Amino acid sequence: MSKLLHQSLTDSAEKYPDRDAFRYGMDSITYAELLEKASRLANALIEARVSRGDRVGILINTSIDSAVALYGILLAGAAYVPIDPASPPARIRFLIEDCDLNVLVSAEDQHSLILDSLSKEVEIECVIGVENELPCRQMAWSEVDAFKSEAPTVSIVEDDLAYIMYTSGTTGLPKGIMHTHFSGMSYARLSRSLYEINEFDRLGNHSPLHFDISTLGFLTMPHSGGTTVIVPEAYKKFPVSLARLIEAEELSIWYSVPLALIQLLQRGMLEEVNLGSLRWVLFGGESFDTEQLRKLIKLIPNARFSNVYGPAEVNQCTFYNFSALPRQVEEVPLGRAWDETEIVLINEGGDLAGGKETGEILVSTSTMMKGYWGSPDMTAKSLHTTEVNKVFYRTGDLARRNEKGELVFQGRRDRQIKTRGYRVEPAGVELVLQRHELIVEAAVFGYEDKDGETSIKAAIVLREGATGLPADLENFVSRSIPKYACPSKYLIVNELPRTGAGKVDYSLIKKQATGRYRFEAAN
Amino acid sequence: MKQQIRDFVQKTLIGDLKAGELSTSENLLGGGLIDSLGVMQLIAFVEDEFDLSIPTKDMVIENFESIDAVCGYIGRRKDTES
Repeated sequence: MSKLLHQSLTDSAEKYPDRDAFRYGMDSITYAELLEKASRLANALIEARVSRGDRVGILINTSIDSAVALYGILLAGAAYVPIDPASPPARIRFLIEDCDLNVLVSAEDQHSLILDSLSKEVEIECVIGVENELPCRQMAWSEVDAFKSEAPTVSIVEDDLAYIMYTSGTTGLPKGIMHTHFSGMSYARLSRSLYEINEFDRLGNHSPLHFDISTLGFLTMPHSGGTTVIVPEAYKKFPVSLARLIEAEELSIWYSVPLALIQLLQRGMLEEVNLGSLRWVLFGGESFDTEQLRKLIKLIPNARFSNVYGPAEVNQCTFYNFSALPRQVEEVPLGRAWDETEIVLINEGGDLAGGKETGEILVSTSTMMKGYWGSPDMTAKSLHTTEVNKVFYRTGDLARRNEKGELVFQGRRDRQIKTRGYRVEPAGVELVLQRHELIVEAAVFGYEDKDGETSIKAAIVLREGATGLPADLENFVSRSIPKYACPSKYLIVNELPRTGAGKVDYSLIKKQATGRYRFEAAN
Repeated sequence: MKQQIRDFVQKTLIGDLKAGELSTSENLLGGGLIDSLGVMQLIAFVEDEFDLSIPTKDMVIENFESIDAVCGYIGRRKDTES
């Protein structure tokens, strides 16, 4: 049985050489072609001095080249680090430095972003896929094609690093979640088996590579021999076009955040298309409003649905599969643990939560991360080792068990916000806001609209003499943090409400936010 | 008409994301020039400025992928109305 993630590709290339591995718009690549291209890239990377254990960045708008880059990097024995091309240059600079990237696999349209991200202090040795001049070594795809098509022989083990996915941290700096071939392969194996994915399946991949939902398309599908249809950006903006794509590509599995499905439901004219090919609709990243979900189930009657739960640190750890949602179900449960996984709920007193008591979800699973890159302290804080040396990840998510023993989500232990599936740490955003010269204090919170969508808002206290929102506020914020984490609206207050103990009273701010105060958008 | 749309897209939606004059055939949707919110703004602008009501079935990539595509769509709508 294969133990390394790229062995999925070599196996599928042998078994199903002519089957499409990935599709993107009019482009497609078979398993045999993908293995050949990725092998050439691996040889090019090795020539560019990449070796076992090195990290290599992928800065590409998610497309077929993302798959070539991912498998090329793994075949070279290195770990891939997906970088969001919508990140501000300061964040990219941080990533390059933080995990010591020497080589980037990128694309021509990222040229100016790369230029902006490099500086005197932050250099990179080699960029692959960009011809337009950069202050470092460059290799065009045409040059990569001149390398050998046989995969290089690199000896690595399943405990070697496979990828690092960055997520927002409470300090305002992103933290890198390290996954090994073992944890990645465990996810590929468990998800393949739970959803009975085979070589005839066609998965709609709506998620960019830097987001953990992409692992089903990029890791599990090659393990199953099926086809991943990457949804191009344009389709995400036009639900009618997206609905037609699902029909035309005869997708059998869909996986996205609830928002994409809600948009399809509200503006996709689903009643006009035939979605009979869909056998699974998976959603995760945040809760799905049950009223919307019931409407969706009616429009896709043949499909089974799955609520997927699991922070990026464990990829997935529970599932709740269903075909109908009985009236009495007010909230879709997180469900129960999947194979090779143990979940315990720990109450505030540090004991196992009993009966229907709420507790923090702790997970021990084969899909668990190795830790946070370069942060033994943060890793130690989030991983709990028991007396018998079992390691549990503290999710920070709260849940209780219902009468069937299924987990039901009960919010967060801390203030983390989920928006469109992204994790946002309000404390990190507050630190950035407070760095603005006209802002004294800030409180960042999530605000849920009637469809259950959460947006980020901030209450700010201005310096004396300042009137109205600082003109450069939006620019200022977006220089440091990604767009999804930037507050969409601001509320100017004279002071932040505090509890008796002097702590900022976030629940009161939220209440005020729904009341008489008026929000302003930064411009 | 082209100029009006180009000005709107350049000034309101793109801002300083891209320097220089935007070509009317340039793909607006693929490379992150316009996000989903921008798409809604563009649709609202076309409805207001050219006195059209755009039905959901017309909100598809083909009609909005470039300034040329938007102009083509408006032209076809005006033709059927007159």
